Amino acid sequence: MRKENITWRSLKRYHGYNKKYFPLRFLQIVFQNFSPYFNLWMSAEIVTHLSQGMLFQGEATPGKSGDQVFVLVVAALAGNLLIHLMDAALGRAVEIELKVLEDRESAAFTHKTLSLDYDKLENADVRMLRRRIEENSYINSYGVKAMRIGIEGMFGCLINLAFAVALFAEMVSAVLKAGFQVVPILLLIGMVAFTVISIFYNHFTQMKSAEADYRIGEFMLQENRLSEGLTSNGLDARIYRQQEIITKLDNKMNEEHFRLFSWAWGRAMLFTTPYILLSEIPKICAYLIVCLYCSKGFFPVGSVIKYVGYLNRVTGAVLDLFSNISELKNNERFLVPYLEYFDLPNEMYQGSLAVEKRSDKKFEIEFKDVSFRYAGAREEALKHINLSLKVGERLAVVGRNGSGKTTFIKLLCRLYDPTEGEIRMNDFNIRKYDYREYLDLFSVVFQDYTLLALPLGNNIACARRWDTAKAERLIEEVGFGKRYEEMPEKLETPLYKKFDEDGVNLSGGEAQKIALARALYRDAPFIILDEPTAALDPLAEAEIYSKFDSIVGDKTAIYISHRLSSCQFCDKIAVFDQGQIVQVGTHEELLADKDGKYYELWNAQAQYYVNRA
Amino acid sequence: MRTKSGTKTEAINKVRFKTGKRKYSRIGSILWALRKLWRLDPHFIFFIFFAVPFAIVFPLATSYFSKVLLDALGRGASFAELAGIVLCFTVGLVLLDILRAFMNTRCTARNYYPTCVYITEMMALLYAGMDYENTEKQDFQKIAHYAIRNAGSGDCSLEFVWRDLSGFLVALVGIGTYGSLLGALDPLLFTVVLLVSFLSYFATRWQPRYYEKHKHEFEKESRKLGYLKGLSGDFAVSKDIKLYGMEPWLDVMVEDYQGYLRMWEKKCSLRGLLASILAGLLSFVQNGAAYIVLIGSLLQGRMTVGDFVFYFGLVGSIAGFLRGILVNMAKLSTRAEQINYYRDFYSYPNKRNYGKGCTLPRGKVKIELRDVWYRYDGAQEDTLKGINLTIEEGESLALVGQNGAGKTTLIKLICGFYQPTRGEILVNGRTIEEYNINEYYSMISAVFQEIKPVAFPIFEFVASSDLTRENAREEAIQAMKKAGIWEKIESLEHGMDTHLMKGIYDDGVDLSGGEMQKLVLARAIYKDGGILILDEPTAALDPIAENNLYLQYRALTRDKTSIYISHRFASTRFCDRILLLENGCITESGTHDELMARNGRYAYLFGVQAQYYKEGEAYA
Repeated sequence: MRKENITWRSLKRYHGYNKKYFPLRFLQIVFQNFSPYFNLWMSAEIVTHLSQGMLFQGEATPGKSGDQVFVLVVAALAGNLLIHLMDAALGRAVEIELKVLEDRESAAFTHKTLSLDYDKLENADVRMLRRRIEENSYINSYGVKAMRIGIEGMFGCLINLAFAVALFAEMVSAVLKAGFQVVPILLLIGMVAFTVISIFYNHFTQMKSAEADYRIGEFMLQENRLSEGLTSNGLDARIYRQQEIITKLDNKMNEEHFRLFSWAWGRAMLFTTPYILLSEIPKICAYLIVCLYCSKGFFPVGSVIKYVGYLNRVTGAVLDLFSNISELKNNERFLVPYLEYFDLPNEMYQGSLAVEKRSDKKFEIEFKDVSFRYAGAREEALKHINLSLKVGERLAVVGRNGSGKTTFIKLLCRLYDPTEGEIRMNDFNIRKYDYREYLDLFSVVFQDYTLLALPLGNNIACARRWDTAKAERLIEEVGFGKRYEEMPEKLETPLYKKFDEDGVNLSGGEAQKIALARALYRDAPFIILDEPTAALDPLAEAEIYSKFDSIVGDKTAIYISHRLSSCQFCDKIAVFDQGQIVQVGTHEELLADKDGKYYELWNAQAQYYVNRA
Repeated sequence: MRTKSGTKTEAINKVRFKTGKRKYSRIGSILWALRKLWRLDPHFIFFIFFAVPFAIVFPLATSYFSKVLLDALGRGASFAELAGIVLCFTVGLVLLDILRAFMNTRCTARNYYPTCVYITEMMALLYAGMDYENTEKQDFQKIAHYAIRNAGSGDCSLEFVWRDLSGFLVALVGIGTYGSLLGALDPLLFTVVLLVSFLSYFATRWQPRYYEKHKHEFEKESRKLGYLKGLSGDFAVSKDIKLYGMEPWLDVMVEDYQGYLRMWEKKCSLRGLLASILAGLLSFVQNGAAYIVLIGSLLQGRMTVGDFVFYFGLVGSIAGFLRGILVNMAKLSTRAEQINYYRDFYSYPNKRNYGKGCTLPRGKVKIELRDVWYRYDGAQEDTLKGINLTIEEGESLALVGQNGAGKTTLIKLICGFYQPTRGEILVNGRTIEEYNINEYYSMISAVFQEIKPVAFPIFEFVASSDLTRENAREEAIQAMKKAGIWEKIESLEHGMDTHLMKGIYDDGVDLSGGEMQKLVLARAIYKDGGILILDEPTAALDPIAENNLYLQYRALTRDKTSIYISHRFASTRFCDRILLLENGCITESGTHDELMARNGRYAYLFGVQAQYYKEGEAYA
């Protein structure tokens, strides 16, 4: 990524979310910056006219000067009111357009995450990238928001400068018109010179403080992450004295926080003091020039107010411009992850072949010498898998933790593509099928399934609307009926409390049943259950088993479980060991092989249930 | 073993929490917060006052400078005199400015330090310094939610109350000094300025008040939107979202909620716009009045042009100060309300003994439950109903029963987390309250269902109960070997010094569910307490790992009083006695064989699970 492009590219993307925002905001900035110049100018005129009125007071013509003052006062009041009203009206429009822009921006961010390839979602680097973006914006407020504020600030400075330079030129020409004099010219040179010096000095300290800001920012990120990692639960914290260690670490962190901030602000003070002194010199010069000319009668009295005010604004604007530029530059580092995230390509081949809509659900799957290695992993998670699956078959997948069972399922559902070999469905490589249509063939309940904290109906249908009769039938089938009857709003009942405070909490077993109902609602030809009864007690487990056949119906089912008793329902059992399929067969066949892995697994459990007597 | 004064404060607390009326005065709460700040760092109390003279003197001196200069010009002073005025004032002002900047950096350097300390303090209290039972009570959860949210918001009321107080003081002194200057000139003008500022302040309150009034109508939606946005950050959820094709639907939902909230924002900002227009008109009136009065007295010769500029500046400042008084008063009142949550948090009454307790039993432990009842806070029904149970020294007990029968509640009572609603628990003849609760915890080795990794090095995670033990590292390794996780830990690059949680440390490690379960088992083995409690320790383990635990169970529980909870009836074989818990009552008790012979509920449940294993001739 080319460096100089970063802010510009981000700005273009940001502006694209709502093209009305920046023009309106810029117009508002023009008005806002015009206001102080207008006021300085008006009060200078009023003071000048008043002091002229004072001079002539002894004489007989106060009337004329009085009229002029009256006109000026009315003009100042009306002008201020007008500017204020314009600013207020624009302000509201800007506020609303900004909201639209930020809403669209955050929706785009959400959308991007949801549309990423699955392997990207699982990828630790991608997770880190997203995390960085969020940390940058929430903890250090860097990122696109900082960019917007920087750009607006810069525009404000430029407008300010345009006004100020025009008026400053007026002062210089007034000085020159008064004729060449050594003292005022020297003062003028001194003024300009020290303005430039203080600007450069300020730029230098800006760089230094950016360094401190960076250190503080990094520290706060670390602080935030640690406080997330150092949260225990109330049970372990007490029983295992974890909180003592956590408190000790926290205290250390707090002391470091204090030291770091003291250091940074001590340094800032060191840099500020010379700046306060330096920046005062041009002001003194300006005062002296104006005083000199006023005392000689070249300048009207009010110009003390006007010119010194202008000068303050010029230096202020230049300084702000510089600090805005360095802030924007500083911020680029934080925009990089933002752009990178949106640039993340979806590399998975999407396919185009339409999946045949078969009412007989006749789909056949075949794994041909499939191997798979996770990105960055040393060893292959699956090695040379060969397996075929016929329509309506019930396949059980068993094996120890980490033997590759879940990976096998993920490949089948095309959450990953195999590193070697291919998976075929009805004689075509599954990559050739339209991705979304292919995914729709599967209903999966993973071990780490999650329900959304949305209403029950949404959860089961996975859509905005649901078929009440169908949902309720499934609820009954999976054995959730009793609890469902107690639910106040039936299918409208929100689950958990995160989305809606009136939601209901679920036990692990209940949640598992809902996940099962969700899988069945899709009516997909393949149903895959990964440890579906882990959280259930024996009775609930038996209930599911007894209904298993009717629940699954004519679908093809794959079943992963540590409870081998449940595998007996299956036509075929595949035993995984260290990424390979070591045995395939029916329960009886596999059990007959007393040296086999299946026998070992089975016996580990079954021995306790068979009477020794 | 409670002291007399302890009982007294508890009694007071009880009364306070019962009445539910306004418990603290606002001033009392602010003083409470200031006392806390003073104890942490007395500088803060000094900062409150230090801002006052600067905020008053600095603008006054600046305006006075203009006045003197304009007056000197008006009377045609020489350049030398003018230059003298300029230099005197600018140098004076610069010195003042540097002093102010210096004090400000001192102040800013301390920003958020109290917040950090308070959060640490509150977490220590929440996770170890108070009764666990409190943390599950609804009223406490509400208090804790508000207090912790406020502390973490970056605007912790317990810290930043000093700023508002300081702002209030500045405004008060400002109104006093500036007001007496202007009032001496023209009391009527002063009154007009005050009146206009009041009106203008109430105009600006319009939008926030409208917001507060209608908040309940959109606050729920805002929370929902927050949840939906958070979903995409939760990668675990995104897997299911992808598989079930929920993206388009969620996108639409997000847009809908955003649109709805924007509608409210438009309504609010319309009030803001109207208020701002009104404020503009009011300031038109105020400045107009000031011009009329000041120019009038100027023309009458009662003041100079310099005075004119000076007093005109005063008008603006007074308006600002009056606003400052009103704004800061409102803020302080909100602060006081927020501080109340902290006061409640810090003073929530405990029932457990945190002082000196009786001596812990050495060796084996006997636990006796006498007619123990327990009802969760806010629940309609008792979870445990009159449990009578004696667990003998060194006995190994199995607890079985369906989900929701009360098994976990029972062990939490024994652990000392809950106080029985009725009845008592005796450990070696003493009630749990007689022991110092932290000393009591030191006897317990427990594996709970809920497993939370903490970003410690693995060694510390396993050995946190006693890091100072002589052979701590060696014993930790032994414990991990027994739990069957050492092979995995050893294979990590930094071994057991690897941090848990990859998201926190780049070289950290995320263990799988089964591995974490083995690790917490290792932690319980390492601790080697007199009471061993295992609640579903094999739920995520494969059959062979599960069997390994069974085979070791006898050795692990030697010389210990132990309780084992499981859905897997296989485990009950290794226990001396099995209790069947149903609906909060013990319905059956005995050895496996006894209970099978009895052919009751236990036998039935066992049969349900065993039927699938029995078919065929599995066991050779």
